[in-house]
Amino acid sequence: MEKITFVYPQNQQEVLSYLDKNALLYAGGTSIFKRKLDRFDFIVDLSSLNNKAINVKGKGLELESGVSIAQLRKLKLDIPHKELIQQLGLDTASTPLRNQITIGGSIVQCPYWSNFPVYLVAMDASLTLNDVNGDQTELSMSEYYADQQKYKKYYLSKITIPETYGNYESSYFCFKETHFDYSTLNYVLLYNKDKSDYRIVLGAFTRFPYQLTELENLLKEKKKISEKDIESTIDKIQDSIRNDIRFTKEYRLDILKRQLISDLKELEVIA
Amino acid sequence: MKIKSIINGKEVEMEVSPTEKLVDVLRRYGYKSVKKGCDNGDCGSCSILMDGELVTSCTILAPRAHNKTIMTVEGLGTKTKPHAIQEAYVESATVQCGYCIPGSILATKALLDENPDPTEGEIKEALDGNLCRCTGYVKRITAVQDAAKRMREES
Repeated sequence: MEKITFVYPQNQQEVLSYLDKNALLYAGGTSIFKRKLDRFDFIVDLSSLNNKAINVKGKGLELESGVSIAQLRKLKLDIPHKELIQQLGLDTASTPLRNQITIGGSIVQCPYWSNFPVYLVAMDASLTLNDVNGDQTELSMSEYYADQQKYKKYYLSKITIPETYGNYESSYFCFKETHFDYSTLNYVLLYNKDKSDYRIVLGAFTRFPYQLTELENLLKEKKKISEKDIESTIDKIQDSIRNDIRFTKEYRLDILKRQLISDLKELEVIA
Repeated sequence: MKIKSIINGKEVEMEVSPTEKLVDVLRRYGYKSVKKGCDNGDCGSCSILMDGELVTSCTILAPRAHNKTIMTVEGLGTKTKPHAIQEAYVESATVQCGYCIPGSILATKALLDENPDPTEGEIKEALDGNLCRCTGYVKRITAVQDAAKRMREES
């Protein structure tokens, strides 16, 4: 007799009813095979919800958590950062995997090859999470990643990007050793037209997207900074920089400093 | 548990385990064109079309295929009546060991269904999930361009 029940929920309420059970929420599923599936009592197939809507709300954007990376890669809406979104999609995995990977799954699992969580943090995106009672919690992505363990038994239903994201220009750095190597080192750099406001968020340099708030504030206050300013703010976050078989901490730090200096020189904000 | 899918135009009922991979189920039910390469979503040998979308069947739990339409290369054409894509692949000499070919052909089908006249860049992107250790990919691009031309002429 099979121990595990595979569930095809027809609505969000049904999904929520499994949150306090020993259940696996199965979104795109491209990373579930790293887990021991037979320890779950239920596998809840979120694709049954068909929650794939991308809505423009005023000048902001709202994504249901089932939106796939392929949808973002092929985005046809005339919205700010469309090219950046499409580039992020292209840099994520390959065509068949992009058809399966969901934005909700990317945010919750946040594997090292994920680009969109980094971008969404930089966009000041917020998440709508639902608990087993149906109560909603809205929080910023930074808050979510700061305390992700707390939200393990919540269902992520929606991602909201505020209107202000349209005020920013964008730059995106992604370093890959080979085309087929998904061990990327990436960050998103956003700035407004008069360079009075910045968002700099690291991707696979750290375990979760990491916002370089100190560097952002330095740029806002001083207008022009030195290479030494960049190097010393990066040195302060050394403990958060990953060290693994793909790239050592020293290598990551070196790449990060060089590329940030290069990008900020292009923006003419280095004294 | 039992699931029902439409595979290559026919309704098929299959007995699956909740944690079984779709690639294993399809092969167990005789769809041997669906190859197991990396078993990890990286090589594309196990690619199928599910509801018209190219997916890697080794990263999908079999129950997800319930009430879905699946195409494998067996459903595309036959030896006596091959599809234009199969003809193009054979005639462009892009087949060496053949292991990556079923997945590549379905990736080509997915591309040409959406974009009948793709650029070289679009071809490379559409097939970026189908790795080939034999050929170096150049002839595969030629095959897709040839297939696109044949399909445009047919329609």
